[in-house]
Amino acid sequence: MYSVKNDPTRLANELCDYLRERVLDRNVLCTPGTPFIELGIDSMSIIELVMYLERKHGIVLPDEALRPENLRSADALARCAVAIAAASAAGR
Amino acid sequence: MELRHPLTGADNFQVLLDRHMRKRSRIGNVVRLSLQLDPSADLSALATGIAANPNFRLAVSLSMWRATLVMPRWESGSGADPLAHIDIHERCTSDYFNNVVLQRDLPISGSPVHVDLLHFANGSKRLVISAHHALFDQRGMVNLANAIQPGAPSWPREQLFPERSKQHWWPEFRNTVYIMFYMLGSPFWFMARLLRGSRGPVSNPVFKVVQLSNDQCEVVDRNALAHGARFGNSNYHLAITLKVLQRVFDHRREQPPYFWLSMPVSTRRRGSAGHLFSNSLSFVFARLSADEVRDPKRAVASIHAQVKKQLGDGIPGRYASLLNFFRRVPLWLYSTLVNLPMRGDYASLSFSDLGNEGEGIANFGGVPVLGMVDYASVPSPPGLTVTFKRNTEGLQLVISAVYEALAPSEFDRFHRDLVQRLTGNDAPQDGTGTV
Repeated sequence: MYSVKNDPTRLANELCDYLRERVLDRNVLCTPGTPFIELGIDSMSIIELVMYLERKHGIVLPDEALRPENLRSADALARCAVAIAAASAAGR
Repeated sequence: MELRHPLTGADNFQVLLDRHMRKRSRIGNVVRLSLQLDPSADLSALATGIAANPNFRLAVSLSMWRATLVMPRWESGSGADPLAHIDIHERCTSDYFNNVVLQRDLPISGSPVHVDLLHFANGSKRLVISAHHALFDQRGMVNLANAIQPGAPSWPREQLFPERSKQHWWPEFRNTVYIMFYMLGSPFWFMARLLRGSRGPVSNPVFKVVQLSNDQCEVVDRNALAHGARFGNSNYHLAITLKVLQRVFDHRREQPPYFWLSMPVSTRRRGSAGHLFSNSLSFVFARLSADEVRDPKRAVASIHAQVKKQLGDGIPGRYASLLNFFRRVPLWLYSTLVNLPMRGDYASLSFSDLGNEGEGIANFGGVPVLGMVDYASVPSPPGLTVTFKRNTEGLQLVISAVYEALAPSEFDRFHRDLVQRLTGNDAPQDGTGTV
């Protein structure tokens, strides 16, 4: 069954929407591949993104997934989240 | 251009801190940004250019206006002589820099900005902007440094201040009550306090700037990861700082059961310079037991859990509401309410991690900038301020304290221990860390 949890591109776009609405200045261009560091996104905002994934999609990122390479951009975070959701579904 | 704008709640909080600082020391709540300029800089030309800059002229004309039961506001005056707020010091010595420039006081009631242009005997040159914290947060200081450059255009009028809070007083009041109960739940009377005994005046703060190289930074990054730090290194920096602070108490043969502090959270929209004047800050809080502090890995996990829980509970937003609400009450009442749970002690230390500076300020008025240092204010209590910032050269630490909080020997040991622990190979030995 199709779900945004299977679609890293759509999930990354959703994360960008969240950032535009809650974190970023309205004139800032945010694409899934834009590094968070270039957007001025700090650790607090990344924690909020991770909590958004938990709240909205029930995807809980384990500690070992919270590595710098997975927290670099919306795209990297979405791919990590989709992989974890898939692993979790397979193990269920 | 006549201006009137209400203080933000965070501005008002900084005014409260200023009031507390002035009760015990000569210096109020003043922050500084120091730019190391290329030795080719013509300081006189820079002074003339800054004095002619419209943003600088506006900044030095601002003052706070406050009356009972009226929202405090910033107002611009007229006739301020900008050159009176710029000093050039030829043959500057480090004594002069430490004892005069870094101790410059600025009143909130007028001209809250001052610029020092310094030429040292070794040929190096610096520009130091001192400004009142009630008008500028850290991002605001960087904006100010860009805005007052010779030839810089006027900052857009609609972006001078942040948007006014549109929240009605009633939800602000509810959030205020929520946060007051939240704070009253903290056992402040057991909190670790560096300042002991008398409530007498404190001496002027001393500053120590430590620049770690990129190679040392890699070790810090590895240690942070091994200690379980996620979402950047802030929690690890804080855990190690608290551990080193605990060593101070160990040497004093004291064992405070709790450490408590607030961590500033910028509420500015990211990705653009944003507004020039006023603070946009809220806070999250960390409370750690002595046992947690003794084990940095546990401390990192505890800080992470606390920050996550508070973000989930919307504490930064609610606390911003509280700060906004307190603009409606007289300062003495605000002070009393804040002191109710805290007995005048705000935290075990002032800590802030400014994150990544990025490219910083590459040039000032066409002069290459070789380095930048943020000197935070030093509220006493707690009497110790530690700031971390990642820059292109690595990791910069600014440690500042008053001697009544850390004696000279304790201060020296504190910064040595801090660097040693951050860069040492003291990763946890239980094999659970990921290096």
